[in-house]
Amino acid sequence: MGLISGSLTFFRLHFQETIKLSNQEIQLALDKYSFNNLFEEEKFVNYGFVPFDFPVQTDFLTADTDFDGLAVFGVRIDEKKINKKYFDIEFERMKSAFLLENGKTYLTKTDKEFLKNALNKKLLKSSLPTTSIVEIILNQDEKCIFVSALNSKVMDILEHLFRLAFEIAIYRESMIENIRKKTNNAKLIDDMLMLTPYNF
Amino acid sequence: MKLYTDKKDITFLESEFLTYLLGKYYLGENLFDTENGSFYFEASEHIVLYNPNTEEKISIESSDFNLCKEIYTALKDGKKVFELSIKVKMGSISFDITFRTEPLRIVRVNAPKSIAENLQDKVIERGLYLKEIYEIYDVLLSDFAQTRTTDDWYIFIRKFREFITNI
Repeated sequence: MGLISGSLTFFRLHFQETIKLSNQEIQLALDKYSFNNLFEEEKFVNYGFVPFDFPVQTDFLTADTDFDGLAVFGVRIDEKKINKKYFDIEFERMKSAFLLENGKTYLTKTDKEFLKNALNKKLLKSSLPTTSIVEIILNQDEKCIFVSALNSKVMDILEHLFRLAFEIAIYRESMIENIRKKTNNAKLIDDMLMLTPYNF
Repeated sequence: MKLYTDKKDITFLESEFLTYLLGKYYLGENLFDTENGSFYFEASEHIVLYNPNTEEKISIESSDFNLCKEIYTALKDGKKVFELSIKVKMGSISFDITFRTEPLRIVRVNAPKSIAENLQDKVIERGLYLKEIYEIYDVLLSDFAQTRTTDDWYIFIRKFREFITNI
C-alpha cells in the first residue's frame, strides 16, 4: 500500500463540519458502512469501507484504525464491466432463441428490454469485478482527508460514503480555499479575486 | 460543494504560482519556514510549459534546471508553467513533489521509506511526512498570495526578467 511504502501520492479533500469522534465511534461507523455490509450482487459497482491493511485485516473491531490521532482505513471499489462486443453476440443468440420459442418474427421494445435485463443479470453474475482499494487518512482536527486515488468516480463514491458514515460533506480543495485556510486573511482573498493575468 | 463563488475566473493564478516557484528558485530565494522548521527547494527533473495562445505543450526533463537552455527559451517566448517538479530539503529529509494546474494540485510525491519496524510506527511516520508535504504546499501558496497582491510582485518580476534577459 502507498502509505507504508512506495510513492506517497495522496490527494487532500476538505470538509467544514466539526467532528470529534472517538476511535471506537469511527470503527463502528466504518463497520456499519463496510464493503461487506453494503454489497449487493446485482450491482455493477459495489463499494464500502475496509480496514487498513486489508485483506490481511478484515474486521474493523480488531484492526488498527487509530494512528497517533489519525484514522486510517480503506475504501474498496469493485466494478463489473461487460464487454460490449460479447454482450452483442450473446444478445443476438438470445434474440434468435426467443423469437423461435415464441413464434415471433420481430421483438417489441418491451421484449428487447426484458432480454437485455436478463442477459445483464446473467453476465454480471458470472463476471469477475475489477477491484481497487483507496487508502484514506481522516484528520478530524484539520478537517481534511487524504486519499490515495482520485477521479470523478472515486470522488462520487467517497462523497456518498462520508455522508453516510460521518455526516460530512467532503469537497475538493481549491487554490483560494487553501490560502484562506492557511492565512485566515479575508482581505488577502478579496485582493486575489480582483487580480488579472500578468505577462511574465 | 464549492465554498467560494469566484467573481471571475482566476485559474491563471495557478500557472503564475508555478512560474513564481521557478523564478524563486532561479533567483536563489527558495528558503522558507514551516511550523516544523526551515526548508529549501530546487526546481528539478521535470517541467511542462505551454503556450496559452496555441495550447502547445512542451515537456522537459533535466537534472539541472540552471543549465537547461530550453527552459529559458520557453520562458522568453512567454510560455507558462503547467507542471513543475521540485525537490524539497528539510533537515536530513528530502521530498519530491510535482504540482500540476487545471486544477492546481499535487500529483506526485516521493518521500523517504519508513525506517520503523512495526506497522503502527511506519504508518505514523509516513503520515507525518504527508502532513509536512501539504504544510509546505500551503506555505508556498501563501507566500505567493502575499507577494502577488503587493508591490513585492513587481520587484520579483523585475528581478526575474533581468535574470532571464541576462542568460
